[in-house]
Amino acid sequence: MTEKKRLIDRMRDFFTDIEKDIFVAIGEMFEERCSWDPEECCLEPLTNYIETEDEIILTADLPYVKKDNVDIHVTDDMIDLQATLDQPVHFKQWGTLMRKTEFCKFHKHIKLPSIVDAENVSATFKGGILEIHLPKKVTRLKIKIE
Amino acid sequence: MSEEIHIIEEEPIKIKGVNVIIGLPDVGLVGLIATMHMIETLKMKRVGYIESKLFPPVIVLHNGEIQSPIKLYMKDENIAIVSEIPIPSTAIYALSEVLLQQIKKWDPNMVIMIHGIPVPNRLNLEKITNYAIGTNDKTKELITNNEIETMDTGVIVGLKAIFLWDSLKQNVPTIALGAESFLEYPDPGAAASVVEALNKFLKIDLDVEALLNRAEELRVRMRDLMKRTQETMRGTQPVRELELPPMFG
Repeated sequence: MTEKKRLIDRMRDFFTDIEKDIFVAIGEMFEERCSWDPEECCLEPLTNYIETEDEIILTADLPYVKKDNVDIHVTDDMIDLQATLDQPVHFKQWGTLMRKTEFCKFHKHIKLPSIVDAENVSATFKGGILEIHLPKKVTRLKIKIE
Repeated sequence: MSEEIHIIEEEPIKIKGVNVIIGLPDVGLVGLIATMHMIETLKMKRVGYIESKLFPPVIVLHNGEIQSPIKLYMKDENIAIVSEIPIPSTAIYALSEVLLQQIKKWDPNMVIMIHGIPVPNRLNLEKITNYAIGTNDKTKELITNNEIETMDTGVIVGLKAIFLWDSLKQNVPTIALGAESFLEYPDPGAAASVVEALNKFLKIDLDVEALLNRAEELRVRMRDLMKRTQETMRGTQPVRELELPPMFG
């Protein structure tokens, strides 16, 4: 029974990963996508990353957010960032659907450019800017010259 | 290409000796945020717009009114030029030329082009520093008298670079006024720092605290424009402003 459950869990994880990959791939195909989602009431935050030899440093601009309201989930090649706003944002002057929506969170799913060591990720939050340090999973082999 | 850009004065600007403030989307949207704050605080009146087939096919709506995204505002002797869309790199030379032609007709006392200066350690800066570049002795003296740091060595890119160069050649009193800023995020803190310097140059009293109090709202509202500006800025490579010029002066 336990073995069967473990297998089902693994299959579920496998399909969740595939689903995420498809989601990111579609996102990349259609870069012109909207930066807000009225159904989820969420905004896409501005993010940026730099890549060094040893790590990826990812930052996100999260106005109206407090440190305790940021959720970060990392796998070895993905990061899912969610943050609840202190107060809902309402674009009353907007001409269309947006004026009917109150946005209450930021959400972004980011495909990382390299495989990272998810267990050693660290993050800081200052002035509404989130900075995440993702150490790369690097295999270093010393090559002996014959 | 300059004949493809048109500056339309909806209300003819007849006075001479104006101060012209230019705030276009650039690093950290510093120029736009600071200039918009000036327009709102001084309740400046819209007096014209700029149109061109070189710009993206965009119009904006404000309170039900159709407007060009690039507009001119005026109050007393101050004229502000702002854009709600990033300027494509292909239009930079032509826009610089047309702006200068028009500004020279107004016999400017001073032209201030506001911009952000990208710094990698912006997050850790306790105090933001403003830097200015003047095109002639008069503007250099103004910078010194107002105790603004001068940028002595560096690389400038984008429209402000061409505008400064053209101003220098045509002896237009231009100041490029920049503040240390985030490169890719809207930076109302940097804009507030520039507003402090603007107050000195123009001898006005714009409320800096009021701008800082709206910082989070502005950061949310300007996400999309910042994203578009990032895409456009790739053509002018703003990170080159972090590089040192290779030659001695």
